Amino acid sequence: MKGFVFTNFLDFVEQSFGLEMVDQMIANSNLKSEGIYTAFNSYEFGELQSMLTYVCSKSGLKPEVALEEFGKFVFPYLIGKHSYIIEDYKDPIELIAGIENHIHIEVKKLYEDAELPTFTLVEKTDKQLIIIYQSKRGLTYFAIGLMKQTLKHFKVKGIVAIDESFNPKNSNAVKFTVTLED
Amino acid sequence: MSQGEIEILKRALKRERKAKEDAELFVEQRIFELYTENLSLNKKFKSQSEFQQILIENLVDALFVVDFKGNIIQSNKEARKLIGLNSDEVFPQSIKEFKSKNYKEITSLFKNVNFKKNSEISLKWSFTNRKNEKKVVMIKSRLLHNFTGKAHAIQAIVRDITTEHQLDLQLQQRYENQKFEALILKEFLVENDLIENSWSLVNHIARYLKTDDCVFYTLIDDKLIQIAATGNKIKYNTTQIINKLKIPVDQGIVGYVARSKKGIITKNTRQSKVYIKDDATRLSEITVPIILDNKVIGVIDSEHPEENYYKQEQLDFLTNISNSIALRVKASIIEIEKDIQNRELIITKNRLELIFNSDHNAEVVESSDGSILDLGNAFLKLFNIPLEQKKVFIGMSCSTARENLKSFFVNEEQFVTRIEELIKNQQPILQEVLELKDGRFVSRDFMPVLFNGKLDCFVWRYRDVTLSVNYEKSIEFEKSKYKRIIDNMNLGLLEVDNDDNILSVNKSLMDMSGYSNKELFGVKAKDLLLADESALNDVFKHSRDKNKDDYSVLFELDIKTKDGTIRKWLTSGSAIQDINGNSYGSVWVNLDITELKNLIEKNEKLIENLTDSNEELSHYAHLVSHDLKTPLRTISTFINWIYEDNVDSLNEESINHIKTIEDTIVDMDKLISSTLQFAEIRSAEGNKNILINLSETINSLINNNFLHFKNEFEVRLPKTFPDIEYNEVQIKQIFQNLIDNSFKYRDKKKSSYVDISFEDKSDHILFKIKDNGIGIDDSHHHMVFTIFKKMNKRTDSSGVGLWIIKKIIENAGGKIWFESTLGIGTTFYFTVKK
Repeated sequence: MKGFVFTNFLDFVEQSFGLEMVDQMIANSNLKSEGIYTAFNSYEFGELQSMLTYVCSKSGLKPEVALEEFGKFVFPYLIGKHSYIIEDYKDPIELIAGIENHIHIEVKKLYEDAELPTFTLVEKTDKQLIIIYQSKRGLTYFAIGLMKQTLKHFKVKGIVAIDESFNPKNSNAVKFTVTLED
Repeated sequence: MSQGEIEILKRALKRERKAKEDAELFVEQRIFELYTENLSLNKKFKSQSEFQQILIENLVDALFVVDFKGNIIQSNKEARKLIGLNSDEVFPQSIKEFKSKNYKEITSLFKNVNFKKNSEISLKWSFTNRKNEKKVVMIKSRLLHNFTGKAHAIQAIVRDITTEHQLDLQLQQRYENQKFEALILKEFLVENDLIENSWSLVNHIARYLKTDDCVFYTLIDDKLIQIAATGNKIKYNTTQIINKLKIPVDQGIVGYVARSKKGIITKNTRQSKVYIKDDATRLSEITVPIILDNKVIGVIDSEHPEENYYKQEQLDFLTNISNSIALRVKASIIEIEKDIQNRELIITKNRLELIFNSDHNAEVVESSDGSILDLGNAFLKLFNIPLEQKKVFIGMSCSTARENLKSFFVNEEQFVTRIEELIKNQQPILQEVLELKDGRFVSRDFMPVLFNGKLDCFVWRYRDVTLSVNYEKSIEFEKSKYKRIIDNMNLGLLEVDNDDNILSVNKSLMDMSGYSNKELFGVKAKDLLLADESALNDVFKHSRDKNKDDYSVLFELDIKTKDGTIRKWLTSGSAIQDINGNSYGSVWVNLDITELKNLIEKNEKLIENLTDSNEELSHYAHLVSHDLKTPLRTISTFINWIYEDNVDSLNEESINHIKTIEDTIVDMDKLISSTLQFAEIRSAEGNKNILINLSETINSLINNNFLHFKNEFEVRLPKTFPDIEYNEVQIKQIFQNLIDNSFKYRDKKKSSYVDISFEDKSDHILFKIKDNGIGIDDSHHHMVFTIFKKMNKRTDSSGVGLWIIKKIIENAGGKIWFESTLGIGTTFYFTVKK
């Protein structure tokens, strides 16, 4: 997993719970990297899981909530660094719909080794977007956090929901419905 | 800051430093990698561009790279050659330096090209270069992109294919020639009809020569005749040539060629003295003779509006063609010469065939030796033979056929024997009607056909005439029906022509005249039948005066019958017309009225006699009553004298007797007056009816008779009376009598009246005379109108009055009746016809 996730995670924990929590988390999570992360390199996903587990157990937050909050936290970092990628987008639906075919391509140019989830477009109107999200890792709520922050970024109110009735063959797949409010 | 916090920060700082080191190491490694990669790329690029340049220079094809402004960025040796540069000339910097025609063409060529990404476009173009060399090139071109992926120039690889192109053209031309030659020869040699062939020939040649004019002439009787043509020379949608030229062999270019026997190209017909303008003047002409055995038999000629159009190779080609078809043409010319005759023959044949195979005429042609040569479809149909079996019959012996067919005929043997007889006689016989067993009738014509005075064949023609036979039969039936009616009626019919010759009569006329049909037919009717010929003159004069063709007259004529007796006929004549409306004679309907006439005469005599005796009787009655009155008056006078002389000496009884005698005499006098009146009714008949003012008549009647009784007897009258037509005396008599009656039998206990009124009915007027007198007893009703009956003993009534007016009213066509109730009154009714 790309290093920027880890560096951001440390920042997220520091901002949410203080530096002490970061220190304890690194000390108690038995990390191979010893908590030293650079954005360029890649690290094992398990380290993130360990740290998340520690933070949740210490703070009493549910992992889904923590992940969603983390997603919201990362969003400004992502667009701040790569504004040229998203400056063409005028609304959140277009942006989310463009992840798979545009944004991810741009990501691959920078990080050849990036392991990216897939976003398959099911339906798209001016007000609604239905996509199927598929990732090797259980980062569904991280994605939800990112999408919610996207709506906020465009100053648009809306709902990001998981379609519970969606019952895919591949259990990693999740169906999202992004609906804008009038 | 606590020690713990410092420791935490230290650890965090340590992690950040380590991360920074990791990052620096990562960047350094990447920079190095990029550097080495760049070096190798540079090397590769240099060697590649050098290689490319060499490649371009040594390319067999010309290469141009031109940017969108037209600047030529790159070119090679071949390109110099292609555009015709000398070695000392500088390569043009822009395509704008090309010849303007070429520049325009090339820009427009590329303007329309749609380059797709990475695709190559091929174009063919021909142009003339600086050295005036004609070049045909194949251009393969594609877009060139710069580093950013934007198209910035067009690369064109141009191959000079001039030589190949020319070879190609030649090859194509040769192929075309061969194709045309093969096509023309195939049609010309395979098909039989030269005319047809010439049409396709001229069309093929015109197409080959790429013109719209080609004419094919054949030489017949020293004249070149246009047999086939293309283009404007043809009437739309037909194969008729407009203005079919016939050119003598010494005229025009065609004539010249026919004489010189050598094909020529006329480059400009304006400069030719012999050019004959056909449908339009054209500047180029190519003319080739068709020669066989050194004789010209035809000419192929084509023209084109452009000057100097035809080429030697086309002349060669046409010469080839003309040689190939010559033999065929020669053979066909003979056919053409025959053609006109043939065509007429064919038309006649077709027409005959049409008639022969028509549904109406069932014909069989029998050869002189008795076999079937041909038979029409209708013949097969007539005898219910399937059309497919026609073949079976052709060639069959006619006698066999007859044996097969005779079962169709009612009279089988006669069918066969009559045919044998006809064949033997060899005389044409028309419309013999034969009856078939299925109820049909056929008529048969027999016609021997002679050829050069010798018997060639027989034609048998059968026709189904069932309809007309049946029609004739029904007409015949109708005719006989009417003939029976006419024969059996009592009226004698006589039909004569305009000269009065008898055409036909019916049985009644024969009976009436006593003459037979034979004796009457053709004889002049007036000579034979008329007793007094002058009477007929009147008839004819009369009839001729009227509308000549449509007259109808009625006469009584004296007719002399065969046995010499004279009979009276009532005759009515009217003109008759044939189906065209022309009068051809007249029909006279005659009724023998001799007996009737006699009867009428007898009646007339009887009436005359009766009138005479009536008059005598009336006269006698008048005389008697008059004569009786005189002695009666004498008796009365003398009785009176006796009475007056002896009145003192007579006893009561004698005086009464004398009174009785006097009364009886008065009665007697009345009686005689009445008898006289009765006699006068008849004589009054002669008096004519006149229009009577009834009001006036009745008023004067009342004033004369009832005025002084008006206190005891009232006469009520309506305001007006209708005017009626009646005998004046009689109408007075009627009213006088009826009013008198009412007065006589009035009931003196009442104030009496008589009320006279009337009602206007549709065809008569009803008068009502109503009183409130004593009335008539029921038992006397039947005697009211009886002569000499009186219901009571009264001296002022003769008993004749009511009987007389009843007679008067009835004589005038009216009626009289009454209603009466004893003690109430009586009402008399009578009617007067309008």
